[in-house]
Amino acid sequence: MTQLVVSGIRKQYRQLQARDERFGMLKNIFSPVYRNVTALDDVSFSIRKGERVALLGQNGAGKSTLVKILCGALSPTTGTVSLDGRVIDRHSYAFKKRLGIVFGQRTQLWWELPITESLLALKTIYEVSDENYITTLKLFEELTGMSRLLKTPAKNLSLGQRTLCEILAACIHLPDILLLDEPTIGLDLEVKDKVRRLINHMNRHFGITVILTSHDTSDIEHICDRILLINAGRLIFDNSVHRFISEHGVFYTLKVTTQHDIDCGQIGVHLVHEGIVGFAANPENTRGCEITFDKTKIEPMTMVKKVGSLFAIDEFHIQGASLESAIKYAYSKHAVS
Amino acid sequence: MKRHVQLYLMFLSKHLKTLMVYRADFVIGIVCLLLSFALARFSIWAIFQRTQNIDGWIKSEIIFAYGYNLMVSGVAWLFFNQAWGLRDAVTSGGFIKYKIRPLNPLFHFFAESFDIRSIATIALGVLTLHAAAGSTGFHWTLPRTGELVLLTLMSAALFAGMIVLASAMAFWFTISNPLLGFLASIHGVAYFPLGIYGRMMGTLLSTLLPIAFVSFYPCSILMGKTPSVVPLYAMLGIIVVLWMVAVRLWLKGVQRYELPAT
Amino acid sequence: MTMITYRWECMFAAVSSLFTVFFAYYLWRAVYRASTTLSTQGFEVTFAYVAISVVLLVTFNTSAETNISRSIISGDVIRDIVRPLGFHDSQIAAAIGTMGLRFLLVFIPCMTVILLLLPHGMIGARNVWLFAASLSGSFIILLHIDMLTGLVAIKTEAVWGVRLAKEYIVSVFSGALIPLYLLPSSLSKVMLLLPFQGICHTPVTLLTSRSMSGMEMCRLLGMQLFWCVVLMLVVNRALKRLITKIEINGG
Repeated sequence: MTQLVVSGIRKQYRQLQARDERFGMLKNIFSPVYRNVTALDDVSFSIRKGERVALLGQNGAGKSTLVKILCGALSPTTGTVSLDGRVIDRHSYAFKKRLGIVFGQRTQLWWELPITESLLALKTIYEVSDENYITTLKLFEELTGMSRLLKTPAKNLSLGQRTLCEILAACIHLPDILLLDEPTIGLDLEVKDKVRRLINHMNRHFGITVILTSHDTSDIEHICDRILLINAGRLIFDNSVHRFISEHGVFYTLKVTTQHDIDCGQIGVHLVHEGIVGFAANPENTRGCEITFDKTKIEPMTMVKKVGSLFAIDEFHIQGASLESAIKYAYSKHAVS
Repeated sequence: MKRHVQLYLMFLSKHLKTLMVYRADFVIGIVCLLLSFALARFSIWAIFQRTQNIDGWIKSEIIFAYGYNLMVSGVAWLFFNQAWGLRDAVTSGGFIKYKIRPLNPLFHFFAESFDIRSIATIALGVLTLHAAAGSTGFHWTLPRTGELVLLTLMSAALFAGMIVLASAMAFWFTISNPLLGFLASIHGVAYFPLGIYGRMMGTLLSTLLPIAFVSFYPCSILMGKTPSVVPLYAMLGIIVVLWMVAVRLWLKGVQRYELPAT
Repeated sequence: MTMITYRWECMFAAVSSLFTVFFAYYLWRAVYRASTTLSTQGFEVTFAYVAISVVLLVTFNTSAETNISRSIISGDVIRDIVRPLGFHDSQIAAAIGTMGLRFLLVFIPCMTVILLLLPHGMIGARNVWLFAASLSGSFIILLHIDMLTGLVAIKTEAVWGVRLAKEYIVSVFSGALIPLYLLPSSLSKVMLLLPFQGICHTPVTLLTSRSMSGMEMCRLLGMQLFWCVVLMLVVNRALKRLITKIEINGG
């Protein structure tokens, strides 16, 4: 069921321009010069209920602007956002109650007060029933085992603990859509894992649609099934994670082991000479080698044969592209074009 | 309405609990506040060492007006002190919180803080006014006391409207805080009779910058210096218009507000 | 804060101090009219004294206290301290920069208005030179009092309260609210010994007084210089202690 439809969104900002001339700063004080910056340009997509969508893009690509438009904090210059077939009124309380929002670097908790106090306040603000409130808290305890945290003031929690509480706070009214802007920024691995579990559970258990931005590809691997890639304000990819990797994941890795010592450096030089983009490295010892290659330039099996002609292969293993390498490739491709 | 009262009380209790975290700071703050009042009171005393009246008002009348002024600013800042924080909330991007929640942003923003210190200001105002009342035309009879309460609330509503209007500037310019400071400072000296100003300035203070209605006119009524009740109706009119403009402008500012790029 | 927003603040400060100048004018006119003990000729001097004091306080208000207290509370002070330029020096440099703009946008326009309100020929050339000479002392004293106010952030986060109290103390004790010579003499004797008089009383007296002995001038300027040195030493000491405290506690 289609839930959220974004059509033809465009967003322009006015920005103060720095003057690169003598007394430029002084002149700006008396007669500022502005220029228009297009943050988003003709972005359209639709999201089904319960989907888990990653918004990708380099810094300044327009991700955050899009998130702010989706949550109604910003109005697009042109274009509309519809929820369940209706264009949203971004000021309506009914719309706001259907969203849960987590900004990685901003808190919506009362800084000095225990988390429970904040949750109770949000319960009043969002008019959550006692029943739903208790259910959500129980679930939180089951998933994280950290309900003791709820008695601690937000300012005394670690960033990771606080992030978990932020997500809980954003979900306390069981929204239809959960928007997360860089939720795992600055967190250690263990907490990241808890954050992902919590998000996934909210998604599966309550059917909450998840839209997240992150620079951490493993967030996306663990949570999302769909990728929206934004580059310079334009939506340039909109499909499943799987498809994203098959389209952009061109760098495969061939891992081989041998009976004898080999010199990977020399093999690397040899391959580059032959025009095959790639490099080689010994992983742990000298009796093995890892070669990364562009599968659009050379078939994996041909690659194996080629390497086999250089030395006797004992065992080999071909690894498909990782999401991270696919994203890197996608960025570099669009930076060129 | 009931929901908003409930919400306000909820925010109030959160705020009080927050204050308890900073108890020591709170005490220091109150001590400094009292010191400031003492110095303001001292300057009235010092001026009257050199003169017997100011535009026909004797010392106790000026002190009465000063006390009234304290009460009014106490009530207004008690509920609207958060105005000072709007600029920071806007420039830091923290204001987004008020845009995404299902509440009226203006209500939500001002409800979040409750300036407990202002209770000290109000108390001091009552004491000052009481101390001076004996030598003025004001007496603590029931109807006059009722009049005092009503006028204080009206004056506070008027002043608060000006505060909200000034704070709304934060959405367009960064001068909202200096503007509030300016408002506080002209109100801070508004306990002198309007007659000291020339005609131009006097008119300005009764029209465009209606500070005279916050202090001078109600004090004149309370001390029986004027039989006219015209200022009272004018006050009501100004309050209504001012609040309508202030709320409109504030909410327009909220709509217009875009987050600073991160 | 960027310069572009600061422009508005300065222009606004000018408007708001002009209002205070007018207020002083009307208030003291009313006082002189009603008073039986004050001679009306004194009004111009009193008005000039109070009005110029107000303008000085606004011009020299450099928000050094906010900078310091914010940097202490947020912990950025560590970054400021490790910079090659000393903390004290860098604060002074920043304050001079801010003051420069305020001088242009507040001091000059407001002084023009005040001079227009005063009778012609009231201020002599010698007065102007003495006034100018004492301005730097006035600036240094106020700046260092501001810095000390900012430093209370080490002890409490209630900087607003301390700042409010400081503002009242400065405006009463410097003479900006009521000229020190109009206070009962026992009080003014004490106030003339404190550092605050150097901020407004000293420069303004040098500007408005027509019959002042050389001795008296030297005494005023000497007193100002004395407090400048003392306050600079105190602030320097306090900053050094702050730095060692941070080094020990790690902020």
